[in-house]
Amino acid sequence: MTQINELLATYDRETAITRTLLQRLTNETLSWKPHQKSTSMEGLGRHLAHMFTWGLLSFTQSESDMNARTPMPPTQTVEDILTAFDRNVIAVRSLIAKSSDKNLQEMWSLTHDGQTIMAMSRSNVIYSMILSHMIHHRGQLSVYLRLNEIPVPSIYGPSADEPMTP
Amino acid sequence: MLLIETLLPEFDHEIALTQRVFERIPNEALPWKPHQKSMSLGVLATHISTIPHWATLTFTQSEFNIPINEKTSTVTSQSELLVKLDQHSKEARTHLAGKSDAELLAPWSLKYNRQIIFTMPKASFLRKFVFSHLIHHRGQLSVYLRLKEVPIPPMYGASADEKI
Repeated sequence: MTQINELLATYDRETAITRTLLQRLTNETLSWKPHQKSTSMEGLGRHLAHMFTWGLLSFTQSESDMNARTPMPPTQTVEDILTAFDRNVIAVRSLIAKSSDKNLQEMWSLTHDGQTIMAMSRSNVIYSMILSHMIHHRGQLSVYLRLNEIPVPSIYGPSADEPMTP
Repeated sequence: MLLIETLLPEFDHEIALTQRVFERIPNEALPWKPHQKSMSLGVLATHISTIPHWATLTFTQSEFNIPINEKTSTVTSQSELLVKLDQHSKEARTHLAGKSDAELLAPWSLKYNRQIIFTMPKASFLRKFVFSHLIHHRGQLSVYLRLKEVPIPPMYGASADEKI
């Protein structure tokens, strides 16, 4: 198994689970937040869609400024979040699929005011800055769903609502 | 580049981050749960602390059968949690270190109630059921801690309380 196949398999599996959670959001709950310091349901959903743009930068540049990404404006509906999520997930997937094991190992740097603040391989950008980051916030979103009486799907095992799906 | 060269630094990074979150858990919050269907904070954190043990199982058994009605004793203090995490992750690390691509790509089966749920390469299992699984529940734990007014450390970026 090549590293690129392994990466794509993980990418497809994890993004599909995230989509399942996002589909369960309701427009009525988008402004809800569990605590005044927390991100709203809408903010969390938008963040999950927007973080894929790190992949767009890292696969087309060798270094990028921290502020190079176009901010994603607040969304009004669940449909808007899903549209943005799908668009970004598909765009990054096609960049990975066109890549090579060698290209995945090449380093990408994140800079701020001309200073390098972080350097990692492109594969690490996908695994860490995108997928692990997404899984972290998706875990938070699962608690948000629970607190809004929305059934939580199986993620890595059965939830209190649904049996395990492989 | 060998698979283990990317897996091991990620493992170390995620365990260190988990330890930082555990260090914030107040003992008195352990029985608390945000919803009647939710795991209590103590059960959630205990579950997280045992996830690295799955990395050990991946290399000591060719398959694993999840017992139906598994009962894990829940920790009663933050210090107990930190000890469990430390023991499980150190043991896992000894099994992970130096693994060849061939060993990491060997198949591994997870069973529930004696039925095969799936078979996948060990590297994929580690990534899904150890790394991603741990990050998922740690994300949930961060919301629990927020609701208990505990300052959240930065994880993949700044939190509402702390900068990177």
